[in-house]
Amino acid sequence: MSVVMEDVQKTYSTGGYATAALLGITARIESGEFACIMGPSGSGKSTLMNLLGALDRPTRGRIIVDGQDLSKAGDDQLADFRNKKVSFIFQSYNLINRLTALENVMLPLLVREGSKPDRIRASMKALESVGLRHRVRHTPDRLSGGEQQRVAMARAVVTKPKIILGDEPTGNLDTKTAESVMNLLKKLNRERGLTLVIVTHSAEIAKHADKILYVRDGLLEKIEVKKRH
Amino acid sequence: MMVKLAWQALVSRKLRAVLTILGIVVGPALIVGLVGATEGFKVSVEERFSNMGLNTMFVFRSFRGGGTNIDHRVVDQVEGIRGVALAVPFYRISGTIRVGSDTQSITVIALDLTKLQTIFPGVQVREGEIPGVSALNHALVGGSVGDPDGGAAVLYTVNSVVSTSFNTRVGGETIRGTRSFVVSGVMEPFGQGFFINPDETIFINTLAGQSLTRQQTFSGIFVVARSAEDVDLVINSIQERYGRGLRVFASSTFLNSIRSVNEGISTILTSVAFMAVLVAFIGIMTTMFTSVAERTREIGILKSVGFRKRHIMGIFLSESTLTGLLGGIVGVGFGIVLSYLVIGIFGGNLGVGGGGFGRRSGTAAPTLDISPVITPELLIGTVLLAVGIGALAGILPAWRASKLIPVEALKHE
Repeated sequence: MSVVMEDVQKTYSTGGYATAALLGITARIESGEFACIMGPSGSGKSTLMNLLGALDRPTRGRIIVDGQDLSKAGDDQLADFRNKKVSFIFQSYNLINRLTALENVMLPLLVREGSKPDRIRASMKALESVGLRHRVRHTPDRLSGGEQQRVAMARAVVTKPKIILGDEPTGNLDTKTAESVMNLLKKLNRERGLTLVIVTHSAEIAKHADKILYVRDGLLEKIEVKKRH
Repeated sequence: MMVKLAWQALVSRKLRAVLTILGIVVGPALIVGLVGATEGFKVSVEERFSNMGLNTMFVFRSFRGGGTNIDHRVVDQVEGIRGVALAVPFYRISGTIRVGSDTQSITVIALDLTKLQTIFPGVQVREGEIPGVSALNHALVGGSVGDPDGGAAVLYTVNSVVSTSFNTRVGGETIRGTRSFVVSGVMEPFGQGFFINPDETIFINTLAGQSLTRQQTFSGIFVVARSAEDVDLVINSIQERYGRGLRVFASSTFLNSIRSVNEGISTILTSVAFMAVLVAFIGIMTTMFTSVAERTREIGILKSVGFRKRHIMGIFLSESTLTGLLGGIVGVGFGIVLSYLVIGIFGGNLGVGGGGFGRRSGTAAPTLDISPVITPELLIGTVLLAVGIGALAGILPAWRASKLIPVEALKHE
């Protein structure tokens, strides 16, 4: 499942002023690749990732994921795209605090066909795969940062997506926890052939990537392609 | 699960949910309480008045100067008026009877007893029978005669004797007298009357009354119209003919004025309830806007995992509808209590009219026995109204929530 960016531009207008976040990015991420997007703060790397995940629409240009042109899709189509093809892992986890770990993982399945026992079974399996079987009834505020991020990962994989997008997924974690989270992600990339796109500052993470997109001032500075490990 | 999300949102902010629900409660409580109570009043008043005969009028000589003496000539004239079915002259004598060591005020009414049930359709004989026309020493006694408290102080039975003391004026001279009657029949309790209280009345034949009062002129005439529609016509004809000489009262005119008062109250109630509903609507909407604002990030999360606009709308509409439902149910509960309170406060005054006469507890006094009229339709309709208000008030906030752009919603703290 490849990701194609063609002259992607994004301009925000706040209070009558237009701020250009992306000035025109053209790049390609191949199916099954582990790609990193790097760049200084404010370079537009998060904006780019949000556009790839259809959390927002580009002002100009096209984003084609798996042959589907996101810039032409309607709201419901984008919602379905987020539900079926792509999953996010955020720096701040983005879990709902009044729901249990299990309920958080079940969320994306609620808008799908399927019975409640099936949803619970699939969610339990996902939690098990991240080593959190014993924490299913806990709410996020009773979990450590690393555990919360693993719940988020379970929520990301429960839908069996084609792409996982991570926005600084280890940014709030200590080195050791960060490493275990990255290992889980890499395992998914390697074993299930998931396309992995991660926005990061960390050279340590980027070291393992197949491709690094360097973004600066809303433009693509360079693309570094590495050999597959 | 959508409903569960909404439910959890309510539960997680208990105080606010409770306050919002309280804001809704007022409307349904007022609607059920006041509608139930006024319907209760209406039903019991209408029942009483139909007992008294809605076609029946009472004609009296004016108390002020220039009153017309009611004699046979006048009775015949009145009977000849268009719309009149029956004109029955009567004597009314105030008296007392002894009840143990106490006395009880009663009224003796002398009339053509064969017409009694035409004049007062609610009169029913519990025991014995109505005395025949020629029975001059026999009487029909009201349900509370000798028994003012319902405690069976003196129970009159058929063939027992009732002795009354009375005062009458003959030629400017007051005569005190005593008269005994054989009881031929005892009435079922009648309830509150109008001008006369049948429960505390002894009914005798016209001639017996004449011999008591020794007068040729009557105290008044019971006039029965052919139909309820003729009542106004008859009143106008009598007033046209006798001017201020005679006074006419009809239970239906009283009923009509009570009805119009009732309608006035209903109009006020409707506007009060409408205002309460409007306040509830605004209250729910405000709470929902706050809820949407607070949960912007949550909306972003739901959108990021693939919730469509209509899913988001569904969650918030469920929340506001649930709020309305809870408010409605609690409100209806309070309303039922309120309707009994309203009747307790105002009904009591109507019930113990003219008391203060050795009444022990007033339990079985001839009170207006009012209970609220609370129909399932009223309850269900009111709850549905609250649910509808909840749903309507949620539409705009829910729509706004559904429109949020995911990336902006996620940035919201």
